[in-house]
Amino acid sequence: MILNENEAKNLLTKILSYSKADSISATLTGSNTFNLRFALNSLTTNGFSDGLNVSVTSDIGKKSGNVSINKFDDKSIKEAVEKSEEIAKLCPDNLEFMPPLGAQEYLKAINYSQETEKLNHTNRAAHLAYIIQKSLEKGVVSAGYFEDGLSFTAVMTSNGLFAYNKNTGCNFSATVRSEDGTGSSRVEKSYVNVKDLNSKRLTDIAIQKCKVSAKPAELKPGRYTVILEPAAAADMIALALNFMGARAADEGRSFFTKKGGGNKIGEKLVGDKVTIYSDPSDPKSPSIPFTSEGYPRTRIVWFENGVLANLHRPRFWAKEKGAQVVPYPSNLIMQGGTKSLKQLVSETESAILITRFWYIRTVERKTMLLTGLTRDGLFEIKDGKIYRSVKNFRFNESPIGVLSNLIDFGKAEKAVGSENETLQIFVPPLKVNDFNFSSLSDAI
Amino acid sequence: MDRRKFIKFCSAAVPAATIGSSLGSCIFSSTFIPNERHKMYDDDFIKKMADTAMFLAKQNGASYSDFRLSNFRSQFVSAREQVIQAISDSENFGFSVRVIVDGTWGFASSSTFTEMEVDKVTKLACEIAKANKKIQRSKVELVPTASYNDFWKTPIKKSAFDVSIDDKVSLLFKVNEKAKALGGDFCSSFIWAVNEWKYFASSEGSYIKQDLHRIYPQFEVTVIDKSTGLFDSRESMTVPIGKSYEYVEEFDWMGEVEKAVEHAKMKQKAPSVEPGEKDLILDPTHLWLTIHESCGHPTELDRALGYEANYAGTSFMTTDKLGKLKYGSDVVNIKGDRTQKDGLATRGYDDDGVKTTQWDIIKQGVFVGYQTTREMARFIGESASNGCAYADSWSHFPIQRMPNVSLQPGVEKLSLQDLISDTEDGIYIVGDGSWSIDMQRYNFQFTGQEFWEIKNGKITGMLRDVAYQGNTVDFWNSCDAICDESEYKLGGSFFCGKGEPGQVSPVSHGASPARFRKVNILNTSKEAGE
Repeated sequence: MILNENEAKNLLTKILSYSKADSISATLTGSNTFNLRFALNSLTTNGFSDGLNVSVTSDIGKKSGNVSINKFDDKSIKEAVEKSEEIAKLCPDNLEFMPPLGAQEYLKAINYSQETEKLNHTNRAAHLAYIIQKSLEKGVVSAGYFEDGLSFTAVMTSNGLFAYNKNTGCNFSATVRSEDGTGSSRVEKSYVNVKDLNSKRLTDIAIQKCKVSAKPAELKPGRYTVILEPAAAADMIALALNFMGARAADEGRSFFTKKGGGNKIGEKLVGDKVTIYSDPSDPKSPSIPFTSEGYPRTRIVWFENGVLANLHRPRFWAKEKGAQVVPYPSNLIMQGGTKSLKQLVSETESAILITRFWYIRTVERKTMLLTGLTRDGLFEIKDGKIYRSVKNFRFNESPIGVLSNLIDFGKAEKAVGSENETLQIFVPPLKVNDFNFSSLSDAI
Repeated sequence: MDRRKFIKFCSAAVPAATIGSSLGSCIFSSTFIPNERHKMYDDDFIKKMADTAMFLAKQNGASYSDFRLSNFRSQFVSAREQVIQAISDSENFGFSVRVIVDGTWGFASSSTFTEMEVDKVTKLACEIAKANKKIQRSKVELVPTASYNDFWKTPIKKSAFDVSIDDKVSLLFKVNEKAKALGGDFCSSFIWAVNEWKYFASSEGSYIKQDLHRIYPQFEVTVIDKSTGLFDSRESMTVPIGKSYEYVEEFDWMGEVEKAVEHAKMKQKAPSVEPGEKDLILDPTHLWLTIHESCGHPTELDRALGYEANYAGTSFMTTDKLGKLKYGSDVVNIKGDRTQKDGLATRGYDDDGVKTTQWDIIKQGVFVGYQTTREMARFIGESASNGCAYADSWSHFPIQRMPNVSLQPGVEKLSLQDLISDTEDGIYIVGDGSWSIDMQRYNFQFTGQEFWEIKNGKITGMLRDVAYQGNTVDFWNSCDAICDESEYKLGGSFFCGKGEPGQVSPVSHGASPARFRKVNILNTSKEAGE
């Protein structure tokens, strides 16, 4: 269920009006989402979901209690507030208590599109109709997913904060496999405005790439120069962010711990070309400009010319350390260059082109070592051209290794990796030395 | 399995429900019980709504329809040292209507449970089905099932929701305090209890109510060597399980804390492993995950057919290999079982309304069975589903999900000690660590919590930096011994990930320790270039 700003404000005001606690905060979220899924060149499942939820936190002294409900009659709301107070009374003091935020200023949100909100069943089916038809014509087997949704988040506290954001999103992904099962390719894009989504172009790319990927040759595992397409690069930078908590670093259990104490902010940790930042108001990758507690998200630089500039730091830890709060971001943008992927390939004598990764997991936290596999298109580049399709590899590599061994990059674009569901990512293709492929996989 | 979901849950829960405490000041005196919303509606009203939905669906052209009302209650209590990190008690209530109109699925759902909303959602499901008919090339057909009017409940002894938060916090604080007292630098712990209540009705005459319980308690100790900056962690060998608070009460927490701290310290000082081929003995606390990834997933029929190609992947165990593939050695017998005692995937009926059962997946090493739903079973010529449909929310379409998939114990008497004594050069791996497998389930890499070196039939000490890689069929064919049922244990996960939109399902895997010959061992420090 979607509430406009006034409706959300009125409902939150009503919720807060039942409070007898020292302070109260409430986060209201609602969404309407549609999805269509297809496989074997035919629709498989679909769905519509309509939800509305509120999370209420009451504070009595340094004690807090939290209740979540999705029922909105007066009686249920009143009971939820009373129950959150009941829990708070029963709790011991919270040694890390932080009072609810007061009024905040936010960057102007640009993550809503009327075009996306107005999508109908016919528009949605059209995205699938094209790929199904083309796949039949070209003798390939496609599977994929289309989802669009409208949602909102509103936060109110008894200390004077009110935040509201209405946003839209649409996502199209498709995996195209050859009929003999020896080739596979995949495309995925996610946008605020459905007008930015060109599913026909993506379909054509996937079908063409699938044909090229068939019957892969076998290379030996080892260290190779690689070009990560944006979907693969997106995973590396998003997973790097997971390790970048200030508290773990300060407490001595992180790659970002400085030997002898403290953290590595200010140290040059990766290649000169690496500048990564977050900014919810950047039109390249719009996202929600506040956190679930209403803390403003602004421009945060994580790496600047290879130097670690920030680690994410929640309010309590910032207070403990007398340092700035750095909220976990809603987007990640890596500065790229001007070269197209094609140009990057054409300037490469010998390398492996990686379409995307799959099943990436942490092997060791202290080195940020990850393992995972390549998937849906791995190609050998020779003398500036795609020479042949090659069999997939398992890799053992760290995001720090990737960013340290960066030789060149292309033009950045919106990308969706396989391991991140929450961050909006804008990233260039990356050309990287010494990428560690550990073993071969027979999987297509 | 998808631990990201777990991490996401925890990080989302912390800011919303952070409640702190100081040592010894735990003064909770009652249990907070939010409204269990399904209890607000009597059986007659729920049946009336189900019948309304099915009547309307038929009027709007549906040849089949089902109605699912569910309430997922989840209580999560976690502490870090003597600070509460989260106390979250939430309910997620809603209903869905699924229809088949002219061979096309339609599905719609809502969290608002009123007659008017049931009317709206049912019509919308039919509308969606009709709008999508043109992109449906092959008509949906369901294999038959009997209809049931039944109630099924997880046979628990003590509901976790009847235990006060006070008791839970006290236990977590005690665990964390003990770990610190023994020299652990950090200790985090949690207790996670879930109650999944669901009502299923179908146009074929079923009315089924189920009350499912599961619990997952765990702690993790971290030790840091400040002089070197090295740190190591060790998780408790507790498992998520289809029981309730009795599991927490029966577990030897203090004994496990002692072991965890001691072993974390040993791990820090242990020599780094020499890479190369070695025999592996895998403990059930580790082997469950290897079974999950290398047998559970590849034998999902929807995956083998290509329905998961865009997300979870396909499978090397294609339908032409059914009854032919020598998946493992003769000692390898693996069953699918939705009736297994204490299993996370155990229930009376699946979300197609099919009565649950058990069956062979691997018999004497040969691949003989898939996991199926009513929609998928006919693709391998089966006339009945083995009951593997599941949706993790009222707002999600039920898809084929894994049953409990378990390695059967060896028939001849063989203890873990016997197996170690019989091994010349190997590693005994305890606990699950990092895991990854390719999208057709050939190539995998796993780590664990503890790696014990075996030389000439004896454990000689601990090793560090161990990972092993393998290819599923080679690996299971290298299995030459499985301990007997006296060593059998369950492992499992709350978070097996699959489908779009993404869904998680709970699943258990039982095993006795088993030996695998000449497995490729990696040194993870060397892999990191150190």
